Amino acid sequence: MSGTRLLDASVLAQISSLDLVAKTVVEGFLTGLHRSPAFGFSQEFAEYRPYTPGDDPRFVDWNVYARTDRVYLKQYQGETNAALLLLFDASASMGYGSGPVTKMEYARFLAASLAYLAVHQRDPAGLVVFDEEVRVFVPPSLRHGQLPTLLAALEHAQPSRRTDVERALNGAARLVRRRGLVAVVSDFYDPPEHILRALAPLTGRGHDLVLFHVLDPAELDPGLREPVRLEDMETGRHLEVGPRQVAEYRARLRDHIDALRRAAGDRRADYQLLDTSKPLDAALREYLRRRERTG
Amino acid sequence: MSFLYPWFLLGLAALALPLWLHRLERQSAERRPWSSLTFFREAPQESVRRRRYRYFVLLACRLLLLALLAVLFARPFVDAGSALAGSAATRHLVAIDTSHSMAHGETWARAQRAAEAVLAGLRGGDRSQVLAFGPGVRVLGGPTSDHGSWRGAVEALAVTGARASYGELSEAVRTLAADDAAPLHLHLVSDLQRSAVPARFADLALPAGTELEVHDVGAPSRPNWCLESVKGRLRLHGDGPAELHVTLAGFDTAAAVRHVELRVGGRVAGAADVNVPAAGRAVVRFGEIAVPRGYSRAEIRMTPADDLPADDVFFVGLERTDSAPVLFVRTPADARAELYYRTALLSSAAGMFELQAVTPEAAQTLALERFAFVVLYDIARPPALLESRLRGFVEGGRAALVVAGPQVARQKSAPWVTGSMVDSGPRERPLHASAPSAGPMMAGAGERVADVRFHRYLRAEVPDDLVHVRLADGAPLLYEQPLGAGRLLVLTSPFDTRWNDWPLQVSFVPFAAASARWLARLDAAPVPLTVGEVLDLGAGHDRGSSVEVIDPDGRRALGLAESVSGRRVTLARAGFYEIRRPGLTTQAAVNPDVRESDLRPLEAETIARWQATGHAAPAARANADPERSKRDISPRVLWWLVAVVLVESTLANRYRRG
Repeated sequence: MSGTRLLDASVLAQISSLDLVAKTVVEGFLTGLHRSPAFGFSQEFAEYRPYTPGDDPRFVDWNVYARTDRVYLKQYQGETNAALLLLFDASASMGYGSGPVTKMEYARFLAASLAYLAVHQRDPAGLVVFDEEVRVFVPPSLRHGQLPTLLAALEHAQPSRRTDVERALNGAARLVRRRGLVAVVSDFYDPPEHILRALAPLTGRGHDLVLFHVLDPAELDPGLREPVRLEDMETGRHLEVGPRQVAEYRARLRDHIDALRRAAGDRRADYQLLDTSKPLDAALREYLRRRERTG
Repeated sequence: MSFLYPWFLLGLAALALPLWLHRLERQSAERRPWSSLTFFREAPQESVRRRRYRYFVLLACRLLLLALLAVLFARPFVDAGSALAGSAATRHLVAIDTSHSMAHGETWARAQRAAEAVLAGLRGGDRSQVLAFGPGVRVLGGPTSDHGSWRGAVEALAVTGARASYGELSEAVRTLAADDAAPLHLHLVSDLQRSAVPARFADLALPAGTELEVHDVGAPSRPNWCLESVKGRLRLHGDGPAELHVTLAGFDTAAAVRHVELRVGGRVAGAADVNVPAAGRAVVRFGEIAVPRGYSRAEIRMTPADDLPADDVFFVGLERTDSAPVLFVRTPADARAELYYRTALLSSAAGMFELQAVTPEAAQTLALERFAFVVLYDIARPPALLESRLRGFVEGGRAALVVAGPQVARQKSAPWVTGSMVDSGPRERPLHASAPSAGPMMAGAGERVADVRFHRYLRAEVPDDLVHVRLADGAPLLYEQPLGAGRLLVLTSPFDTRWNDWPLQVSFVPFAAASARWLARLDAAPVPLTVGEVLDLGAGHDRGSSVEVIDPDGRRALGLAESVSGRRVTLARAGFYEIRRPGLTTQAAVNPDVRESDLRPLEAETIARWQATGHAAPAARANADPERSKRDISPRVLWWLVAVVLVESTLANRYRRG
């Protein structure tokens, strides 16, 4: 089985353990990267920095301490100490899926993989699970056991309630004080202006922001051939929808995506549209590219 | 509506299939989840309603399709009567009187205008039918909603010389109503003659639920004179003059003097002025009328003519004949029988018949055509030539009397007699005869024949309807034997006093005279006939001999086929008809029915009672003929099915594209 194949969400859905999923994704992904000249990634030594209380004593370079009687920590190439904060949308709409994988599962795989990758790069990784408000908050940390905590929080996240990205991001901004990388994984069914307002506090504090916009292929192209009655998973509202309304839907969704992309650009944030039928590597590439730029 | 095979209606259970399929479709449409409806604009309400409407129309089409299919297999039929009873459409019968009295003044023109006005005033949804009555009732066509189509038929109608009968009209209406329970409206366009009412008022009864509307087109004042009857000897033998008594009648007339003139063969044979009392009768006698030999056409005319001129003329035929020659074929041993027969003819019909007796051998060379009929007395096997000529003689329209006696008993057969004749042998106790339905050949002798004692006779197998006189044991004594166009009588016991004593009984003379008149066709005296009567052209006419009937206008009354096979002709006009048979031509005088001359109208009370007969509830006649009233409506259901299939296919295709 190739690495790319292992990044396919429908394949990952057959793996029961999220830990194993994350490991499979990241290792498969990294294997692919070794064959790619586009991205450089290594664990080569970069510099020393003085120890500050709270640093993990495992990274103290005891040889330097023996020679100089000073406590220094070893730092490697690419390591920026940029914390990764995953903002995970657990609203009801994330439970939609026209294929074997729902948006929630896809987002869960993605968040787990990012967390796995971050932890293994010695980046503090944290998690905020939200819907219309913050439900779970795991502060970014490099301590031992952080990854299982994150994965457990992700596994317990279930789609429920409505979504309110603005409110959730405002709440998250208050929780995160350390500058770092904020990755928002959501289907962003909020007006772009609300999302823009929500992004302002994060970008204003110097966070690097990546928006992972997760959508099901049926949402991107509803292939309705006859009128159907749709039920909104968040509000429970019913709506008669016919083929004639699909074209209008596509246009409005396209406008919404463009607006999000423009808003992200205006805030110096990155925007990544993810199709749940596609492999996860695009998202991971975006993370690494952003991390490299941040470092 | 009922069904021939109702168990096929179980197929209606298939209606659940489209209901189930449509229900599934509805449910799947309602329950389809979607992440967010943010980017869907709510559909316009009319679109949703239209879709729902389409949904129900399509479902209804499919349900109807399956239901019609099940109904079609069940073979539906309706009771035509009840189906029509439920509808508001009325069947209008426009009955137009074409009897002789309608020729009075402007009555007929008023009748045509009235009929057209009635038809023009009918509703479009109703059906109409035109009847003409007098003589009989003629239905001019089937009921139709196109009331204007009757215009030509009404214009083509003409007055006849026949009599109208409201009884016949009511009977026809009852017949027409038997298979149609729609409300009937009878429009009677007539002069409402009192004489057209039948003797029994019950015969006027209209079907229940029938509305009778009377259109009286008769003149307000209707005085009318007519020649009511002519009496006297119309057939003359010998050289004596004729005498006629003519009766004049006036209906609603004032006392007046009428001039009456008699013409015989176109020549004036007498004239008289007669005082006719008010609304009364007068008789005028014409004596010493010189009548030439043969048939003479006589015409009696009353002047001045009134508004109904056709009954001011009376046609009558006068016939003067020589003695009719009768050929009596016998063996020399039967001279006594000849004596009895000759004596009987001379005593009862003096001068009418002239008997010539010959042996069979001598008869072979005689010119048979000059004889009125032939008596073949106990000749079992006539010479071949005579047998052949006699057969042609009878088949050509003449007649013969075959008398069976000892000779026939020995041979057990008689000329032209079907089957064998078996000798009964001498009987110790004689049998008596009876003639319960004696024909004209037994006129005057029917009851008296019971006094005759028959000791011996010949048995023959004969259909009942041909037997005129039977013996006490049921054996036929006198019967008819069909043979071509002629008349053949068979007597199974001779009249020579050896086998019976009939020649010595009083019934023998009238039998001899009546049978001779019948065989010679002199029984049909030239009595004037009436317009509308049916003239019987004679039994055996269908055996190939043709007959030609010339009406008073000189035209053939029978078509080519009818002249060969037709047995009867309706006398439709007043005047003289000529009936031409091979070797025999007769004439008949025909006059209008005298009852038509009485133009007095019906009383209002009688009309009201007649109208009341149709006011009963119409329920009774719906079941007059249930089998006949059953109407299969499968073809109609099939058309509906085809239409629904087309609609369903069209809608389904359009909705799928939409």
